[in-house]
Amino acid sequence: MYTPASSPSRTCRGSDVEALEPEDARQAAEMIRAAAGRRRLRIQGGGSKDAYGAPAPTDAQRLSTRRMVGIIDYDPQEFVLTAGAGIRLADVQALLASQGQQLAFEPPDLGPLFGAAPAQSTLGGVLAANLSGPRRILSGAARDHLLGFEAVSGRGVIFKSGGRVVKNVTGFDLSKLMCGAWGALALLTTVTVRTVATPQTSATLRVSGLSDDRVITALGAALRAPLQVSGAAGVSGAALVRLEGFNSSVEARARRLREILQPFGDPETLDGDEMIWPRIGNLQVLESRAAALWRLSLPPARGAEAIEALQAHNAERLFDWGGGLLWVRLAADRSLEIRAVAERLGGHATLVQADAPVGSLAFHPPGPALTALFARVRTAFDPDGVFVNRSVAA
Amino acid sequence: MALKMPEPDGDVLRSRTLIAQAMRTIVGAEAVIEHTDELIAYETDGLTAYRQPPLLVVLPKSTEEVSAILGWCGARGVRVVPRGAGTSLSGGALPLQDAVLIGMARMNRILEIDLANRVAVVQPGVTNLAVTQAVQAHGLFYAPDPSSQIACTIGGNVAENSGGVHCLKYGLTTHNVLGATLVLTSGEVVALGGGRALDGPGYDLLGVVIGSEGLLGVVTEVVVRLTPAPEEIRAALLGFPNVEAAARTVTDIMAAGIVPAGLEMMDKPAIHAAEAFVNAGYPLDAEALLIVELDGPAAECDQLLTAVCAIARANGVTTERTAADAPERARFWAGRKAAFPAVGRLSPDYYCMDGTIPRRALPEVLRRTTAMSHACGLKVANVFHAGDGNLHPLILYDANTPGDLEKAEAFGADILRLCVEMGGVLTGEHGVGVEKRDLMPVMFTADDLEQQQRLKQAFDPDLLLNPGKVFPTLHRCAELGRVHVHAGQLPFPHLPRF
Ligand SMILES: Cc1cc2nc3c(=O)[nH]c(=O)nc-3n(C[C@H](O)[C@H](O)[C@H](O)COP(=O)(O)OP(=O)(O)OC[C@H]3O[C@@H](n4cnc5c(N)ncnc54)[C@H](O)[C@@H]3O)c2cc1C
Repeated sequence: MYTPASSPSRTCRGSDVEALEPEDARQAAEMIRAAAGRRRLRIQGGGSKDAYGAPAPTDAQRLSTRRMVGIIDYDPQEFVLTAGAGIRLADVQALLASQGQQLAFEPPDLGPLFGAAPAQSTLGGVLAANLSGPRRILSGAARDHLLGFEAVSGRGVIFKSGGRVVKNVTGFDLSKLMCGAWGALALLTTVTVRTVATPQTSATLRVSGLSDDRVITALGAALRAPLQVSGAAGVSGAALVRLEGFNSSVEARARRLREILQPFGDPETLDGDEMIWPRIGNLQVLESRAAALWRLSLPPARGAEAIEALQAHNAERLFDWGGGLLWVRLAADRSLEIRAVAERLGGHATLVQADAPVGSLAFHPPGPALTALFARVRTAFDPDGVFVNRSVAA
Repeated sequence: MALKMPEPDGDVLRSRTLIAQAMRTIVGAEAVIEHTDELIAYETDGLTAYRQPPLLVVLPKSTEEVSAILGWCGARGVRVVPRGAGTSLSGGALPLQDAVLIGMARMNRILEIDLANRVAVVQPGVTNLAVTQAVQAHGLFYAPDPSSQIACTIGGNVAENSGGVHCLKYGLTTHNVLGATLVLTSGEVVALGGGRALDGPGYDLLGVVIGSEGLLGVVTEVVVRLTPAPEEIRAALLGFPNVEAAARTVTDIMAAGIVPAGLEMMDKPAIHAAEAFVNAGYPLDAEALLIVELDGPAAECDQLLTAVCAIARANGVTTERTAADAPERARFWAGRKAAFPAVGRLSPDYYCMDGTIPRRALPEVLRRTTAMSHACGLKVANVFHAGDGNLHPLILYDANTPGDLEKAEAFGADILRLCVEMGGVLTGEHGVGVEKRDLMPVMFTADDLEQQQRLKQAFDPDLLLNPGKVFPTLHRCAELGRVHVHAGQLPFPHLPRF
């Protein structure tokens, strides 16, 4: 039988009930079956994103992955790693670094943004939130790197999907569904991710003193060229473009990039650029806590239009993904307007950090047919709603 | 054929004329095919061992028409099979006797090329190659390039999550599609994914629909990502005295952090077949051949090509050639690209398998495949997307020899079981379809499959879309089913319910 661990470091945020801390999928399945119909469970990894979007209801009991932390298999030559979902991302990254490898999707650490300590994220948590950094434009999102998993559904049934190889179309690709579901469908217990070799070098060029519109145009020009751009951000009126790879290649591409950016202003090469991209991914470049924080996912060329339409010229903001990702601080009570603008431009908006309680409004409501489909998908995994659903209104 | 498909619905078979009438009302008379002679053209796909003419064929032109077709069929319990170009190698587009086949051939327009956002919006019947052809003047291309790209459609690529020789560097269909319009069996239309943005709100249903083999809905519009075409492309042709040396070379290239645009392997039977067919200049003494393609700036290509050749030499390469120009590079590839038809010349029939294994398992898998080949008396040639461990053993047989087809199928199934045993999977890119349906329990437990089927029912509660594909048993799903009453919402209330 399972006995709760008495860990002194355990923080009990927002709930008096003892957290459930299964050691493996089998224990988790028992706990979930026991909870079904009685109480709701809130899946938690490191807790670094507890405050992301709509805070979880306080009546839910925490179901923590913190004891499922083992490395199950890591074969650097195959570029594949399998581990317990609760393993710290930092531990995974250190292990990969020791072999000259990394996770290509550059998972950001948003914990500090919400007042948590840095490096608390777990691998499972980052995947469940589909959190992806600047390199997403080249290498894909978290969802593109989860090759397979084992999980426990809301029925308390253990199931797996995918495998340990990159090329695999055997059955539905449930890995994609797990990423971005924020723990509403199943508890990830074991995950297999692909790894990549760490690039030999990187170079970042910056052109400063631009309007938002020029920033977006400059980033677009770089992304249209055969440069394998691995970072394209707009920070405080500057366009930043990163190239990574072998020395000879980065050198050649940087020359070409310089020509492409020249019409926008004199490009400067940033020293120590490896320090800058994590600050962009982690949103450390957004310093104030002045207002609520919005995340707009947009067609990249329309990033500046959103600022225009929202009259947000004075708002603190950050463009990533060539303009396709806009982080902007605007009051939460403008949500209807912000969502309408995002939709008109072909995107959607998430209220990531509210300045006042907002409930389920944090995530963008989809249309009626999609809402109904989401609800049916949820029922397929968790018919009784035992898992707290943070991402979708369904 | 031994294949067991769902029992045809007698009521539907008897109502064929009425269904055809209803379909004509939706799409017009010229877009409904019902004559037996013409239906024959649709009776099979790339897996030609199985044949079954459909009830009838409907060729819609728009999302609205697809929605009306599915709404009508869905409300009356009529089964539907979607079809692109019919090049599926797993029987994914195999018709059913009592099912309407929706062909996407007339939805073949590129709707928009959006250079600013680096995407194209296309209808599902557009061929894969047509997308690249439409954008190459702008220095862009659509990265997934299945060998069937002149024929296969984007809708079929989405359904199968197709790959190609360049997916090692540029990703599969799932990495290159941003959005899709999906019509459900209810007739409802949903937009999945981010459209021209990188992600959409809520669950990633786009990610699930890609690779779902036409079981979840009919895709009627796709937003594909366009990639800048590389500045330079170089290729090397490397022959080895044994498979182990070639496999080690593959591993060492990847371990050096080099991600080639393509990294293909052929074994001796495949080399000989290809050489006899296209005279590509392949070394006939080699036991294994690698084609390595590198792309990027010239400086990078030069450096990496040198590095690749050094790795090959360290592993005892016996033939080492680098292409001096584009025509020579094309010759290197000609043999690989013609490998299937080349093998086809050696034997009346061949059967193409598609498992994936961890790269390290390659020598053992080839060794055991050869042993199995000797044991069953059927020859096998191997072509192989070596960079990502995706095997294509081609089993030679003669369908006119009684028992040969069954033997070939049993041999193929054994190879796939071996792939799973070695830590791999049943299919890397060709899909499960009807072909590998009954092997699914080799890889998945009953609980795994049940969860997948529950998801299927969230999209298609009455299991009307592409039945008999992907899942091994036919009754299990029905047990999970709920009763759905569509009364009062029939799109054609004046037509009798049968
Ligand atoms: C010679 C040859 C070489 C090949 N090489 C490769 C290769 O290199 N890589 C690779 O991955 N595959 C390859 N294939 C397999 C095949 O070409 C791909 O699977 C292709 O994507 C199928 O496309 P299609 O348009 O022919 O689809 P079809 O064969 O018509 O259908 C395939 C599946 O998709 C479904 N479908 C089709 N259109 C839709 C739609 N609009 N909405 C919903 N479902 C739909 C069908 O129901 C079916 O299940 C090859 C096939 C051949 C014959």
